[in-house]
Amino acid sequence: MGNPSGICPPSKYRFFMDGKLKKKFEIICGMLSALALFAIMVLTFLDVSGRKIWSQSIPGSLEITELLMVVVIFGALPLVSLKGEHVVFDSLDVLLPRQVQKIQQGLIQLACAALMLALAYLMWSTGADFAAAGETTAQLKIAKAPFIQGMGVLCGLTGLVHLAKAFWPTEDESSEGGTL
Amino acid sequence: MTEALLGFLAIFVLALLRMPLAFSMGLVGIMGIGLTRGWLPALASTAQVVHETGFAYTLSVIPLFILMGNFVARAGLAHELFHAAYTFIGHRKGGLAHATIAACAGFGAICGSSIATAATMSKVAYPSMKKMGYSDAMSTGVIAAGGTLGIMIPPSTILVIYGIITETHIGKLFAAGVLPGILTACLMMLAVVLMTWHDPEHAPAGEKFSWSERLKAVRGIWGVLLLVVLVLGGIYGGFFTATEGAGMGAMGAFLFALARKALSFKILMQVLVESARTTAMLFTLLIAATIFANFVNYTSLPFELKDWITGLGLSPIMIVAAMMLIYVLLGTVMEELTMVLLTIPLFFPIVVQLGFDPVWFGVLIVMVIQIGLISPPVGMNLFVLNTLLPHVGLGAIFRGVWPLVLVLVITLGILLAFPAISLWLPSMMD
Repeated sequence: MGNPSGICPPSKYRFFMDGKLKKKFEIICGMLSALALFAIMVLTFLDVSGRKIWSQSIPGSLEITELLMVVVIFGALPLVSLKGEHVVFDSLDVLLPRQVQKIQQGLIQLACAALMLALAYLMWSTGADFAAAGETTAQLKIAKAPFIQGMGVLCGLTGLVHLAKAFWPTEDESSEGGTL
Repeated sequence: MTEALLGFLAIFVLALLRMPLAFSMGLVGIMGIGLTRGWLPALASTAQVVHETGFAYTLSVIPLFILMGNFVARAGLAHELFHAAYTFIGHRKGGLAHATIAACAGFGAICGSSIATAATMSKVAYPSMKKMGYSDAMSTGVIAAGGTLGIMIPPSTILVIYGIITETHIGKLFAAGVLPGILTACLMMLAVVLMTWHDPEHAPAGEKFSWSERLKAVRGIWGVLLLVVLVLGGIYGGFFTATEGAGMGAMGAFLFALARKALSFKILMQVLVESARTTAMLFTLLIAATIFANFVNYTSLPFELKDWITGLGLSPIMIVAAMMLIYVLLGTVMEELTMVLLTIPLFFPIVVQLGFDPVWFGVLIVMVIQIGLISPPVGMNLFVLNTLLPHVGLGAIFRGVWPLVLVLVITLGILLAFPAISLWLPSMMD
């Protein structure tokens, strides 16, 4: 369900949400997650057909898929928040006056930002623990810490998106995506 | 028990304030564990859930099946499927409506989403039905209801999610969805027959095609039929795991779209980013639901609820029937994914303890979601059609869809009464 209230501030305040920064942000996050997803597809295909036809699998393909999954999920997360695609209830919206809705939206975005920034910090420090322990994947010995800290960075970016949306609200496009 | 009930209450309040569901479940879960068990365990278990859900090979099944569906949708296959179905059954009364349901079922075998199936079919089937003089109510009702076949007929995103959160075999869940999906499609067609008796002018018969024309139409879709047979057959036959099958399917769909010249670099990127976004959205929900379920499982609520329900003295099947009634009622006003993610941690242990097969319960869950997606006043498929076909009012869509809601409720009853319909195919996999 889109946002029927159509909260839309004057355009001069929307330099982040409409500006070049947003475009770049979309391209970088989009590229990151898209390439990782494409790589998972090709890798799974090659690995499975290799294994079934020539009994020859790609060494460490499971591990690479796991690392790439992190990139797909957390790379696309800021975009989901930016486009407001998270599953939302909006049954109460009609009951509230627009001014109240605006304040409520701002507060909710702030709460989301706080949660994501806290999660960012948590994942960053978890990553640091992994780095200190020198943990790697089992087969290819790839260090896991950069990926976990990368999760933290991307959660942080998602938090910043919510922060920006608290002050410069945009209209959400849809929720639910292609889930159900 | 009080803590868990307060947790549910908090989620509802936050969700009603329009906090995204994933954030409200995550927040309440972390706060709940923090307040009952201490903050260090709360943070440690959160970090662990995020880390483990992120680095999970088997979960790559989700983006790969989403990708497969999106590639095939972009390849413009829906048109051919609809045309092929039309050449076979279009000459009957209400032929276009029958063809729409058959094409939805076919599309559902590639796409795991109800909304995507309904949206795709609205572009293909609605214009034809309009041209032939079908009423708006009938055509949109059929498309909305037919779309829900997308989540029953495998692959199905919701069955994958159910399989992950309840640790049920995804291949078996897929096999279990086949017969109920076909049964639903047949009963929908039966309903169309009854509807056309009632209102024959608004559902005229189409032209008749010769067998050579029919075979020609089938030739347009054989590539995808092959892909479906390969992927689902491979999973069913134990040749692939669900994850491997999804990877093969996505690659096959990619090559198919490429061969049909449906992919430019820009469109490829669009499809990939779109699929990644859906994945990210789903994983946020999965992570949050796991954190919240961890909290609920720390409390005494699941046990007390189990004791209370088993102490009522109802027969096991009555208990499941009561759950289904709750779901159908909730589904009329609630967003269905929310409903399922919140209730599974409570209902699932009870169902298992009563001795029912988790695979069967998964099929029932899909069925109640199907009903919820098209039952007024809040049904996502109805809203999607209303957005895509703005000149058709919600009133007309509601009028057209209610007989089919009834059909789905009857189907739910049949599936509840005869578990063998769901369990026969998966039982052959052992």
